[in-house]
Amino acid sequence: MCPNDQILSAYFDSEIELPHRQRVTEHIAGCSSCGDKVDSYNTTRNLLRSDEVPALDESRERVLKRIYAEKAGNNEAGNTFWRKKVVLPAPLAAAAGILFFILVGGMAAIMMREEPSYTASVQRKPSSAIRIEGENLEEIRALLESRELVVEANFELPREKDFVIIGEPQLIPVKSAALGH
Amino acid sequence: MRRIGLTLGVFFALASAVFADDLEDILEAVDEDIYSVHIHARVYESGEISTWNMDVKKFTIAGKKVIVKLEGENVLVVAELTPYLQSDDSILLVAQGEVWITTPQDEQIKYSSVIKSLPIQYGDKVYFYPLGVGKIKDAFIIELEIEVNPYRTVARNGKR
Repeated sequence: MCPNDQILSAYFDSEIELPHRQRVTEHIAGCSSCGDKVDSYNTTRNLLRSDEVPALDESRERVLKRIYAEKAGNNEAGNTFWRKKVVLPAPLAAAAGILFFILVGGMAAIMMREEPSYTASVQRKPSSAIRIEGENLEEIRALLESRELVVEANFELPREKDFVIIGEPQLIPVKSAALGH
Repeated sequence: MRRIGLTLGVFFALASAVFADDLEDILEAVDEDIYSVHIHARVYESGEISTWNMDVKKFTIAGKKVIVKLEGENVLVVAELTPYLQSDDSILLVAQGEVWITTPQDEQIKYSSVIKSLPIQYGDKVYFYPLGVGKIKDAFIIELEIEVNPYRTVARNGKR
């Protein structure tokens, strides 16, 4: 029966005392498997004791480059304006929103307004000239507010006169009226 | 608080600017689309000067009729005058006359109606004779002299 790896490792490190050491030596001499394991231990120890140092410079350069690249990327992202967090108070944010919509709406209204042609703009009266003149503002206001389709005026004819039908009713321009008064 | 005040100030400034422009358009439309209908009613005998006359000026818009009622001892005349704006900016004046009249000979009420129309320009004067016109002895003629003008012209000329 072969000794386990711990016993073989202890044997290789001379940590097993006599008479057990003698018995393990006899077993390894007759067991190629255990002999190979002990040989591999010896090879590893010799390798570790050698002066050869693995070529780490190339790996170190590669790692440093990667670190610098990631750091530069993080700095660039951190300086982006749109990635900055801006904290606004709620009322100020609401006011800014309302103002934005008013400005956008106003601009849209101005842009949608029909642009008068050059001729029309010449004919258009300046603001100061556009006003309702005269002394009939109340009557005009009533006219515009009224839903009725009539405006009435009543006259009372002289009572002492009897009227008769003279002929067919007529509507004629004054210029072509044949009769004088 | 100061920020809210500033925001409200900007809001009202913008709103007043927009609505002022709309108001300007409304006033301009009112200024151009309201008509002044000047009616001078006269009663006279053929060949004589008028024995009775009255003036009235009414404001209307295209398609809205001005009704003139003339009521006498034996007659009621209702004249409906309606200006319509035509495509060439002239006016089509439509006059509808209705007459209820009694004569001394019989007690019956006679009724007649008529519709007349005439294309006119602003400032043109027209006569409307609801009882007709002619040289008949002792007959009184009812004459309506009608003049249609845009309101702005009337207002700026200071006519009443």
